[in-house]
Amino acid sequence: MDTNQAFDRIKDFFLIFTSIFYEALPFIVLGSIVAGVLEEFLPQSLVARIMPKSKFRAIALGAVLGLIFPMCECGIIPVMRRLLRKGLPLSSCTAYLLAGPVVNPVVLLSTFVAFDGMENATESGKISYQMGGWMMMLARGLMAYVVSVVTSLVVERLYQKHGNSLLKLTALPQSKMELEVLEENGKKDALLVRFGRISQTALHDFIDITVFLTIGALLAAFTRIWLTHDAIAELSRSHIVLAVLLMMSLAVVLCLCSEADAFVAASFVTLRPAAKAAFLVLGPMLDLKLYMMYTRVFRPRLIWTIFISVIIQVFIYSMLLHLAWENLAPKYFHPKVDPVASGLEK
Amino acid sequence: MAHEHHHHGSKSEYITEQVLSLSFALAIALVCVFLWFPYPVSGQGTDSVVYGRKLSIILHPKFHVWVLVGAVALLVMIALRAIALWREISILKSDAKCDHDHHGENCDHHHHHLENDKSGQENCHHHDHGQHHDHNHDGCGHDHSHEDCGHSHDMAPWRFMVLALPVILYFLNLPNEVFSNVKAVDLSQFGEVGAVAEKGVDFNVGFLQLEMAAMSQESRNHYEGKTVRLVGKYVGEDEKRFSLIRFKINCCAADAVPLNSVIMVDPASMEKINWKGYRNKWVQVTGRVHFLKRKDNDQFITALILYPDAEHKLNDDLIKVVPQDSNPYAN
Repeated sequence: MDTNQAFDRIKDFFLIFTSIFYEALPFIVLGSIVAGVLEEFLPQSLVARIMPKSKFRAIALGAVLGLIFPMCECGIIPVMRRLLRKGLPLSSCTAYLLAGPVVNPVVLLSTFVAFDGMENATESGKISYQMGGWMMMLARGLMAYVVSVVTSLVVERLYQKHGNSLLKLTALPQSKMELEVLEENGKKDALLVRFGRISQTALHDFIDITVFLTIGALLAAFTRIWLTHDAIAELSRSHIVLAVLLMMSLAVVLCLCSEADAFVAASFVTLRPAAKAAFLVLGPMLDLKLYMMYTRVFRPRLIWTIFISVIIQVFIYSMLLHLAWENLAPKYFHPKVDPVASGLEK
Repeated sequence: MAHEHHHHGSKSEYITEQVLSLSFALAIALVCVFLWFPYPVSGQGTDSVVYGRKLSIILHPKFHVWVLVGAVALLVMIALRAIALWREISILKSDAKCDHDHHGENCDHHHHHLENDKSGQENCHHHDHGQHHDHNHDGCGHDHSHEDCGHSHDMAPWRFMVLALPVILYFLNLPNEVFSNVKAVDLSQFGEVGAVAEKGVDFNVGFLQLEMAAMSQESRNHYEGKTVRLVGKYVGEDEKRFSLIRFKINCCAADAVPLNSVIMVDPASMEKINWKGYRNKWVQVTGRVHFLKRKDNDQFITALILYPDAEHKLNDDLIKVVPQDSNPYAN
């Protein structure tokens, strides 16, 4: 009996591992190819011309880049590394890295779909004031935006102090002269040679990131086997601080794709909405597989600065959101439904 | 730079590493294609062969096409890279024949001229022979001036061991079914079952519909008493009841949420479930819909009540072992 159970667990472990792996894989391939194309065809002078001179504006712009170039959190890493090498400031890249996987049309839409109708949910016959699609989408998007902008400002200060020593060799910005010469040279080459170079960059990035995706997915599957949804929901029912912290740790451990996590958050029916928002904002910025992948771009000092800044902010904002929502929602929010027929959620 | 000290070693190291990277990328791309490729799941040799994909066990159908797109894109990149690498190698070989030192020098002055102006570079090209231009970029130059030299030390064998894992798992045929380690529903929180009136047959109703139906009074009234047929995994060790479990996923198995149905034998019936024959297997269950109310709040759970009679025996008729569905998730 016991060996059987252990065997079942191992099978479940591999099920979760492969599912995380193959879900992320196509997007890493595509991200790597975009990275290769950027490396080959995006002139550095253009990057320099487009980015605003003011650091703050450059960060604010980086954080909404996801609206134009939607990338999930796995695909965004190779792209960001190439942008760094092209001379995009580190702080703008961080803003794109952190906000991009949330502030983008695909993810915002899936958040809306997952929570649509939740505002009518009831508990023991009374409206339980959950957030509906619009509210959750807004809360998630805004919170992610603010967290990433503030974190990027911190990163900017750190960069002024430590410079490129924050970055891995492979992410170092290239010198202007070097790039210009290479770009000039590159243009003369036959198309096949240029494609050859794209494939070289793409495959290098693919292999590089996939190794760490694999390790991250293994870690996630390992923790996942010891944690069940029920255990979490049970623990967090009574206390909001505990609920927020638990959902944040869950986000780190589960390693869900930012497109899928809204549905999981919505499945915690009775959980207060602020805890769900904390889960939805933190997950795409920080989880086990992302940590492994970040190590390919950033040095530990930078990684931990980003993580600490993100964790503290998500916690504080979620608590503020909780206070605001629980006080204001019952006053200004009146779902027009028959309480008996309600309780519909995804 | 470090690589200058052992340039000869790093050249063959570079090629080995590139070939290894290519092979691993190829293996992963092929596994993706195999996972996607439909194969007959059941009904072989009959007219009604059911096709399924191995991917169905781990991913929501909407992601299947992405896996294929990713695999094809990866294959294209591999092909392009293989051509470029082949050319590089043949140039390296002809280089080696022609003038060995020249190559090392070339790599050196490449770094020099990057800091110099363009005219310096034109000079280099003067004394290059025809193909050298290409080599200049592919082998050493371009974005890889830091990288090739740097990352050849990065690409330790352990990385390829990590990459081999998904490929090995595929050949071990893992995973081959949805979650194995699941718990039965705790029935102590629910009320008792009364008599359920018969209200027609509807075999088109699925797991997800019934799960949703439990949410509102209207839909509960609509479905109550209907005879339906559900397929799911048998969980439980009891002669009178068990849980039928099916997972719902939105993207992948990591976000799976269990949908539970409680299955109970009509309290008036004397028949007993032969649970040892069913445990952890996929079964098809035919029974009447009933909704059980939780004692402490307004939530309901879907139950099927089994009414065995002379024509429909409990074991093998109302509960029947079936093969796992080609899409094992409810969606």
